Amino acid sequence: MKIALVCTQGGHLTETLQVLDAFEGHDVFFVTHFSPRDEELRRIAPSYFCANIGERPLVFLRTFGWALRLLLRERPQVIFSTGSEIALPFFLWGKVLGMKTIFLESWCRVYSLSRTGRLAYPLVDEFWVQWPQLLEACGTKAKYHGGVI
Amino acid sequence: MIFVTVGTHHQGFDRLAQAADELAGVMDEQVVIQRGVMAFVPQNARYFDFCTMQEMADWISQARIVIAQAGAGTIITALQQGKPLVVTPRLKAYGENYTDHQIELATELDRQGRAVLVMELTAAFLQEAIQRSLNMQAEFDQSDALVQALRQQIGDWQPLAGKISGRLEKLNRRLNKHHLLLPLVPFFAVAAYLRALYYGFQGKTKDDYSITTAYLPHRKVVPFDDRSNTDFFQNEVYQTARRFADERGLHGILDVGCGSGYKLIKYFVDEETLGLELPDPLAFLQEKYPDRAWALSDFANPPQGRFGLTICSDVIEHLLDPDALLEFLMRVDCDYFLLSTPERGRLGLSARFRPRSRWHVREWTQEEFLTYMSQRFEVIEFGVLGHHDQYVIMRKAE
Repeated sequence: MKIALVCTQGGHLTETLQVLDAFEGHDVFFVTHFSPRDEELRRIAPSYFCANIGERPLVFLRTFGWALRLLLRERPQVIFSTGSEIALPFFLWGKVLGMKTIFLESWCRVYSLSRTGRLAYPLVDEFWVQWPQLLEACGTKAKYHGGVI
Repeated sequence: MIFVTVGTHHQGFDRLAQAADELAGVMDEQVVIQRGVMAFVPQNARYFDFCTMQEMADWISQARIVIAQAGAGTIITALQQGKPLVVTPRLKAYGENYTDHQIELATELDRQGRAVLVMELTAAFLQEAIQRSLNMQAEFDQSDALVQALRQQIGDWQPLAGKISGRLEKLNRRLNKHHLLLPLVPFFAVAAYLRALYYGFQGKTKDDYSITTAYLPHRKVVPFDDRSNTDFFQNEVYQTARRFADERGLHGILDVGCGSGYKLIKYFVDEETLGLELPDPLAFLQEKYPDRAWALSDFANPPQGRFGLTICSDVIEHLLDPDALLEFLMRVDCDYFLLSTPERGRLGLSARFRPRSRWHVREWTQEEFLTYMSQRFEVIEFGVLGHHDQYVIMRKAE
C-alpha cells in the first residue's frame, strides 16, 4: 500500500519518525514543511515540501489545490498525520477521494485537543490520542493505543 | 556540556537563550545553544541556528544536561538517550508560540518525574533545575504498542487497497481526459442546481414521462447485455412475481426483456412462459433453452395468446420512449402487469439530475413512477425491493 505521512516539521516530524517502523513493507512518502532536515528526510523516503502555511489564511487556502494535485499524482491509499494544520487539506481531500485516514494527536497534547485535532475529528477514519486522559476531552471516535514513548 | 535547544519552530524563544547565556557566564561548564530564528546573540555561550536530526542526536548524546523547549521532538530524543532534562514551555504571552499547549506536556513530564519544569527563565532558576534534574532517573520504557496498533490498522485496510487505488486511477484517467473542462465544473454544478430549483427537484413536469423537467435523461441508448448474468439483478422482482402469481392463481407468464432468461426459468419452471428479447439475446436464448418459448420483441406486433402475468423487469429505464412500451403492454391480452425499475431517490446524489448508469436513459422516483403508471393502468400493488429497486403491479384501467 502507499501511505502519505503528512506532518509539519519539528516535533510532529520526530513523532512520525518514531512510528516509521509501523509502515515497513509499504510505500511511504512525506509531506512536510521546508526545514533544515530536508536532506535527511529525502534519504528516508520521497518527500514533498511546502513553505510554512500556518500563519496566513490565504496561503493556507492555496494549499488545498496543492494538496489535491499531490494526492492525485501520488494516489496513496492511506494518509497518516501526527498533526498540525498541513494535515487538514489532505484529510479533506482524502475524505472526498475515499482514502483511509489516521490522525494521531501529537504527544504534546495531554489534556486538550489541538485546533487541528478538533477540525480533523469529523474528517478522519481513525482518531488516536497518545495520552489516556485526553480521551475525556474528545468524542467516542477517539482511541488510545499508547504513545510514541 | 549543557545543551540548550529551542527546536525548529519559526517563532523566536529569546528568553531561554538569554537565561542560558547568563548561565554560561556563571558556570564553568560549556553551554551550547541551538537558537533557531531569534534576534538575541549569545555572548558567553557557543551557539548555532539550526542543525540536522543526526547532528541534534549527536549534540544531545555529548551533553551532560539538556535544557529544551517543551516540544515533543527534543524531549523524545533526550529521553531516549536517558539525559537529565530540563524543559521550559514556549508561552503565547511572549509571542513564542500560538498556544500555551507546551505547558501541558511539561507539567505532565514534571509530574511523572521524567523532566524538570522551569517556568521562570533566569540563570538561578535554571541552575536549581539542573541540580534537581541530576537526581532524577530519566527512565522510560520504549513500548511499541502504538507501532503494533498502527501496523494492525494498516493490515486491516490492506484488502481495501485495490478498491481505493482502482477508484483513484479511474478518477485520474477521467481528469486527464477532460482536464480542459475542469474549470467549468463549478459552473455546471451551479447551473444544474439552479435549474432544479426552478423546475422543482421532483414531480413538476412538462409531460416528460412524469419526470421533473430538471432531470436530464441520456439522449442515446447503450444496449445492456445481460447474457452473462444469472441471478444477480432483480432476483427479488421474480420472487415477487412468483408470489403474486401463486396468490391469484395466474398462469401463462410473459417476460418482456427477459435478458439471460435464467430467472424466468428458475422461478417459473413449471409454468407456460414466453420470453421476448432483441435479436442477439434471442439467438442465445433459443440455443441455450430450446425447450422454452422465445420470441422477438417487436412493439408493433404484440404476441398472440392469453397471459396471466406480464413481467417487465428493469426494462423501462433502458428505453428512449417508454410510452411505446406501455402502449405495447396495453395491447397484450393479459390480466396483470409487473414493472420494476430503479428508484432514483435511493440512488444517491449523483443520480439526482441524470442517470448514474450509462445504460439507463432515465430513472423515476417513487412518486413520479406511480404518477406515470397511473396514466394508463390501475395500480394494485407498489413497493420497493433490494437496495434501490421499486416495482408496481397493475392491470389495465377500465
